[in-house]
Amino acid sequence: MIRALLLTVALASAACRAAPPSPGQRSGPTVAGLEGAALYARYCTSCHGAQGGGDGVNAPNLDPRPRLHRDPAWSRSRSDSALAAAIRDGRGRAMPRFGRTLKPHEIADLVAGLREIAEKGNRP
Amino acid sequence: MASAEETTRTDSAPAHDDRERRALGWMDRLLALSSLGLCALFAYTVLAEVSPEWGPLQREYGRLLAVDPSGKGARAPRGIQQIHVQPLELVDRCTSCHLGADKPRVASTGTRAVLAPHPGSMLELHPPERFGCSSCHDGQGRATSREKAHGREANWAEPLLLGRFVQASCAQCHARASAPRAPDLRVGIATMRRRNCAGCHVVPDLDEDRRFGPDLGRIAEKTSRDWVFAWLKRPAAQLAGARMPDFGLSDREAASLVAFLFSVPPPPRPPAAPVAGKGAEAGRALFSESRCITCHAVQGKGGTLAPELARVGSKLARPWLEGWLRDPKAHDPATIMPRFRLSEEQIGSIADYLGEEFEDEDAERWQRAAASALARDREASAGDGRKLALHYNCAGCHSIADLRPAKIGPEHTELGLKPVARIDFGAKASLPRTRLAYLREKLRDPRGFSKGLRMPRFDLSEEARESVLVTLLSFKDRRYPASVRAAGERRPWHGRPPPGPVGELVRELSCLECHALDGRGGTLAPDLSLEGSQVERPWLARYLAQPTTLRPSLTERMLQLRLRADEVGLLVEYLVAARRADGVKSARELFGAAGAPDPESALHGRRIFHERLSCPSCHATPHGARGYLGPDLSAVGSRLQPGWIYHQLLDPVRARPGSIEPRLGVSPADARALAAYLATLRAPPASAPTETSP
Ligand code: HEC
Repeated sequence: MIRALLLTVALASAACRAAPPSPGQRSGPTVAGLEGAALYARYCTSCHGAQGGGDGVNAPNLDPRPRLHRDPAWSRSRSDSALAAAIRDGRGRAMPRFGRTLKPHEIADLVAGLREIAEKGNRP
Repeated sequence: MASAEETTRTDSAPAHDDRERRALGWMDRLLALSSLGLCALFAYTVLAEVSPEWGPLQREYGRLLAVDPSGKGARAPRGIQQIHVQPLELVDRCTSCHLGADKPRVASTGTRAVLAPHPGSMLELHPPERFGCSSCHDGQGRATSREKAHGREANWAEPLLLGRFVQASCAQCHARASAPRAPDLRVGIATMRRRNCAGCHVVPDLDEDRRFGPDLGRIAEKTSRDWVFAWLKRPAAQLAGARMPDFGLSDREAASLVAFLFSVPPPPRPPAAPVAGKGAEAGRALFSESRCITCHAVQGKGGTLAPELARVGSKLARPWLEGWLRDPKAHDPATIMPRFRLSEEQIGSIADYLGEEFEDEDAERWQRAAASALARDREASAGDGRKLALHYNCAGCHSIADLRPAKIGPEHTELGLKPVARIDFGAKASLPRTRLAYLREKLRDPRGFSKGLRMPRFDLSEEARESVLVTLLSFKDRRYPASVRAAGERRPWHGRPPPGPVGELVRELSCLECHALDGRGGTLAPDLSLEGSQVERPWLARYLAQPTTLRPSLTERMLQLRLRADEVGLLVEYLVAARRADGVKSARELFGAAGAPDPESALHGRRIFHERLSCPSCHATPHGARGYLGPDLSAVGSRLQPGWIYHQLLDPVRARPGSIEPRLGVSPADARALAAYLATLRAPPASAPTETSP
């Protein structure tokens, strides 16, 4: 009887004390990725392509051609601040600067979005 | 007395004693047990108090901070943490465990999700001290244990929202149709509007009085019984992207509805002689010139404002089609299709084209199936059909005889708070008992819960259903004070035409289905609120008479309505006189007394355009730029007023909200030079712009 009671208490306390979430456990897209994806679709796909393939409708007219973003190796070769700087200040003459149009937190979201696109690599 | 008692006791002593001892034994044991239980409970409470769930987390966070090179001297908080937001009447203790949520990342962690910073930049836009946590994530902010705080208790009305479902909370302060950073909410409410959920339910944000399906008064003139039967049985099979849901009708029911619809006498209409066209080829040219696919799709390619046309040739009766093309709004006053000013011969040619080239390859099959079903169900009566039409509220979307629309479904206003206990899971016993699980299943299989349910099945992709789910969960009102709500965001669904004759024309042409005036109207085409300060008058007149393509990358292009000269004049007059922006310089103010750019600054501007800025990436010029994204600027001087060019270059985002043109940070001097250059790019005289479409 006593054992049963203790067991109940123990069980109850265990139930109240469920393990913390395992790392990386998520449901749905992350907030950053979601925002980044929306901004990317709006401002960037026309040149960089919907999947980041460097093949947007406007790409054929550009010299140099827009960057292929679906390249994990490229993504790893660039720091967050380098990517943010490219978006903020533009690149060469073909890539416009967005630093006066997008807020720093939006650029940060875009960088997170770019990372996601790159990690997907050439998987569709 | 005493001795008598004594005697009694002595008499029965052994048996009595025994019983008493036994009883006492039980009592003792029970007492011992319950006091033990009490002790255990007490110990547990004390233990829980001294080692709450957040205890180990706070100690761990402290250790992480101690070894974090960037967090020198920072101390982990101790004890229950709470955020109190007075205006929202909200107390959130989430940061007792989520210790890093509102702080920069601790370098040495990253694995422990519960200690990590809030992802993304949302907290910069919604600082926790003003919004707390539970205003977005729901849950039970005051609770101090995980399960309770996450609101995963049977009777807690608002369980934790995660992932895309957090967007459901945006609607407490933002309009659903335009909520920034809430794509699911925007798609969801647009989907609900398109499918006209408000035909049967009271739906927040969908309070317009508009009929969404066609007027069925002339259905007998429009098409055949076979087609209507096949359509009623399975709309999505007859038309890709059909908005009408599947009512799961039996053959008999569909036949009754056909009998009813065809028994309604069509309203009288002016007699019209059949017209002869010049054949399908001429029709094809007219079809493409008129830009029908701005609104209609053909085999999936084209607009979404109007129905897909691919199989329309096997559906429509020719006399009806001719009448419709002659004047759509005379057939159905609620239609958004404008009247193209077509000659009788042109009408005939388009009808030739639609009849010949848009045949339904599948027609024979459904015609045969429908004909045999209709022949079988001879007993189907118009009376039964009428009853069914009332039962399923067909008038919620269509205008039919004297049927009145009714809100036959439950209100959606508080759906996001509907207690799980009041949800009838019926036959779906295996579903998790949550609001979300119920709604998801309801959208997927609306009638599966029990017999007699009326909600039809909507042919939506899983993705679209999830967006609708987010929106459904957003239907609740916490009545936050106006001070925290996003101001002035609710954009009315409808445009408001100006008063007077021009307004009548605007209404008849449905201009505001695509364009907006003063922030009201469509979003497909440019806002015309400031058109009078933007474009040169002669260009506007030419354009309205004969629209050209400004943005080659778009499929949606201005319709060729074949307006008469006096109609063009009326529209130009209105736009030029009434639609002006403040603070836009005139050519004289910009270029001095001459009012024209001098060649030197034009040359300077040309260099800036092509050599210094990224303009050529998006625009085309006669001097080598070939961008495809923004408007072609080869003849922009004939189109835009220099003052507007200047104004827009200084700050494109302010000049045209919603445009994707980035701010390049052009100085006033450079903007003047650029305006001078662009003003010199003029269309060759005499060559009227021509539309060359494939
Ligand atoms: C007008 C076309 C255009 C648009 C719009 C555009 N880009 Fe680019 N982008 C380019 C071109 C071209 C390059 C290559 C430039 C070069 O290498 O000189 C480029 C390069 C880049 C790079 C490469 C930097 C590097 O270090 O490799 C990044 C990152 C980038 N773009 C991000 C974006 C983002 C994010 C957006 C949307 C906000 C965007 N771009 C919009 C044309 C465009």
